[in-house]
Amino acid sequence: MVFNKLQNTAPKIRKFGLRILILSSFLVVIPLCSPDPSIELLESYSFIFENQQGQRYNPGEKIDVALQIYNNKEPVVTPFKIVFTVSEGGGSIARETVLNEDATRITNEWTLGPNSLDHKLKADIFRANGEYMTSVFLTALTLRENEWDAVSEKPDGTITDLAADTVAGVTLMISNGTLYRQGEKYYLWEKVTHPVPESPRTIEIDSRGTFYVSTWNGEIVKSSDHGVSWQKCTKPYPDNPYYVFMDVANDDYIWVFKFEYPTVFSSDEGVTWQTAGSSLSSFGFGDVFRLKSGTLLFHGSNCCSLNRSDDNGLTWTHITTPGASTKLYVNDREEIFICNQDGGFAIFKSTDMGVTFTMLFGCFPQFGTTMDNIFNKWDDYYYILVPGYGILKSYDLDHYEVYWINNELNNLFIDHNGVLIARDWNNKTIYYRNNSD
Amino acid sequence: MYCTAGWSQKITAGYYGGVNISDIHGGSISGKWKFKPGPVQGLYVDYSINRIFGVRTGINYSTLNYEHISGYQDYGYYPPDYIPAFLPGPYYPFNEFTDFSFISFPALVRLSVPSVPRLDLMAGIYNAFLVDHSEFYNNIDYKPSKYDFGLLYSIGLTLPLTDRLEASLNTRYSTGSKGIDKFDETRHGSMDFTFGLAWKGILKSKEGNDDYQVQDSIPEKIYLIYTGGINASWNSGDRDKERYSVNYGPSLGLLVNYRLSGQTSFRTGVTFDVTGYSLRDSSDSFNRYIFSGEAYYHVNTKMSVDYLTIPLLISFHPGSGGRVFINTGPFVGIKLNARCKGEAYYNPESSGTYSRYRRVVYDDMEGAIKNNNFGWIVEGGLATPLFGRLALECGLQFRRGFGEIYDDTYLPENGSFYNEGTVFENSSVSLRIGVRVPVKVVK
Repeated sequence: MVFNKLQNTAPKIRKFGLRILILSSFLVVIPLCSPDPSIELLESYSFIFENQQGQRYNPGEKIDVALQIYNNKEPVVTPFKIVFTVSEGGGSIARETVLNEDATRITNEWTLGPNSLDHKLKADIFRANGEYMTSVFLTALTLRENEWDAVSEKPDGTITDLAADTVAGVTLMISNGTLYRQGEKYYLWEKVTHPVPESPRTIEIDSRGTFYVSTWNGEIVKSSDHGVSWQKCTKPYPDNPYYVFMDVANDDYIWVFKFEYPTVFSSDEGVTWQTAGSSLSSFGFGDVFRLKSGTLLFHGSNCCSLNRSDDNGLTWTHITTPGASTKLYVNDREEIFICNQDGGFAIFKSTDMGVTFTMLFGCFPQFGTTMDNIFNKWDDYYYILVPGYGILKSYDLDHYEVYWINNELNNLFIDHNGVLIARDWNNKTIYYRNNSD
Repeated sequence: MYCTAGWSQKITAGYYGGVNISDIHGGSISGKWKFKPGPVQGLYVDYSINRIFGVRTGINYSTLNYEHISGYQDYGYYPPDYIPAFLPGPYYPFNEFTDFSFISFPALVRLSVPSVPRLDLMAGIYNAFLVDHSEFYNNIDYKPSKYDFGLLYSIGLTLPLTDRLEASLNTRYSTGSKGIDKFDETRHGSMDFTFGLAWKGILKSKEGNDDYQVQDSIPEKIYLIYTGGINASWNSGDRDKERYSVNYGPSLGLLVNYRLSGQTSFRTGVTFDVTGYSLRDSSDSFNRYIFSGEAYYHVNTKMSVDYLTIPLLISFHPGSGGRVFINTGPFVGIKLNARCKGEAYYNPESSGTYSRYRRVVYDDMEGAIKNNNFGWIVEGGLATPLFGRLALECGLQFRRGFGEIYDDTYLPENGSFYNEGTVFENSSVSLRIGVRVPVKVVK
């Protein structure tokens, strides 16, 4: 018999050992049979204001607000209690507590406070049993008179250049390579969708109301109908695919500068271009003024580069300036003003064509720059931006008062209504000031 | 009359086949490594030095199938202009598969208890050579190591079928020591269950006696204890131990009791123990109580660590009957696996959004646990005769592990100046029942 020996050797013990082994295996394996990892969405709701965030309004304006309720998991309406609170800016809300019942959209009326720039409406959402769930906010801005109101939203928060036609009542600005027209209110901007001003960089206006835009690809385009239509000028440097520096002088000449290219100018609205003499381009880009005598004055972006030309730009003569001058301005009385950044900031004046200079103002700004729009005039007053310091105000450019100290500022524009628009150094925030007087 | 088998053959050759359950080591502690079956078979040659000790080698072929389950969320459709910080969405399991086929050459030392069935305990090493593998894993072209080296532990029962034929059931645990590839610290591992047939008598001992011998009836000096019970374990670490509660798990094993004197014995063996703790609280982690600010999850999980425990106990049997026993001594725990499983609920925070999720947690935590744990055991119990020659013992065992269970790599803060003590130390109480089976030595 095959298993006779085995049968004689304690069969009970043998079976017992096998049972132990089988039972052990089951006890080990069973705990290993666990559910796989997973995630189940039990419930999900979203509460969204239909109103656009950061919209701009007039102080005290009433806004119709609408809150949309979404059940992200299943199309079932759930009752909630929504408590509205004006958390910033003053003002009031018409209904502080709203029960949505079976509605997926609820409305309310928000009256903005009269004295604040920033406004915030908070909606706290609770279950019907009172358990708090989440909150959602709606923000708004009201821009006030006679106050500096900061705006960091696009497009105007990143403005790079602006030109205003005070006669036609048109202001155009450039932000992030896009051209905008000022809208119904000074803080509303509409995109100019014309295809010609492609990737605009800077904008200027001449005395006849013609806008000129220089682009990032070296083109000069112009509009003679207040920005409605645009035409390309003759390209000042035909072989140059990159940006140029442009200045429209007080005699409506267009001056174009580019490093390693000769400085050129156009006296016929950009149809033809002439080359300026005396290696003017070695002084960098800058401002050109024509005096009643026909003499041209030019100061480049390079230090101490005041020059005059008595033969319409063919030859240039250097004029010595005090300190490290970088900016030129000539007023209606043909007085010459020079800004220098020699250990601070200073304004000098000359009434004898640069033979002598008199210092008029000095201060110590936070930083120095190439100086863009420094001298801005509105009505009878000049508003002079001192980069890294603030804004000065002057009636005659002989006497200055500190209009606003803000050492973050780097540029200043004035729209066709006289609204001051100051820009900070990192190009993220602008400050509107709408003066009522 | 009680009989036990007497093996006098020197060399045994056998074949075995069965199934392996993959058990990868190290690697990600996020997600679940599934225990996947695969084939295993091999040939072996066993040489008996004497009735107790022997050595074994052979050739083994096995295929290890691995599957890792994690997940991703589909953000789906949302209302226009809706940009929440946490997008709610359905969760899809993300399964990654790979497989490896090895030819390996084990070398084992065998310790046998000459009972019927014969109990074989083996430990040793193996060299393995990769012969095939999946070409892609985790969407990358995969170049795993061609070679592996590791440790083997085995326990099995062998039954004689005829004079020259025996059958065996064996459980084997292997753990590799080489990373699966140079970019991955994950190591191979598996537990296999095999059935084997062996032909014995290739080389007989001098006695040449292949009969099973009848034993005398003198009182046994050695007996085996097949034991099983329930562990109630908890976290006795220094930090927030009041936040944790008890975790229950099985305790199964085999002990050998060697009588030293009339009232004293030495007891050792191996037991499989599931230890750990439960966590039902708010936490940023699924497996431990920790948070900064407001806790992200509300968890209801069990953290379990499987150990192969080797106790070294002195057993006292006060009184003449020896019914009462008290055991005490140190133990060493060899980590086999670790996992955290359960549920977690959470509400992602976002302005204007309320979402609530239930997450089924299964994280393979083996890589976060130290390889060994040491501690002390104290046990008291009663024994009573069973079916004449057997005995049933029932004991209540307290076990205290010493030192941090989590690996230092998982608790980098423990190496800092602000170390606030251990996070996880193991303590447990086991209610244990064992059956004593006497083993007689043939004169």
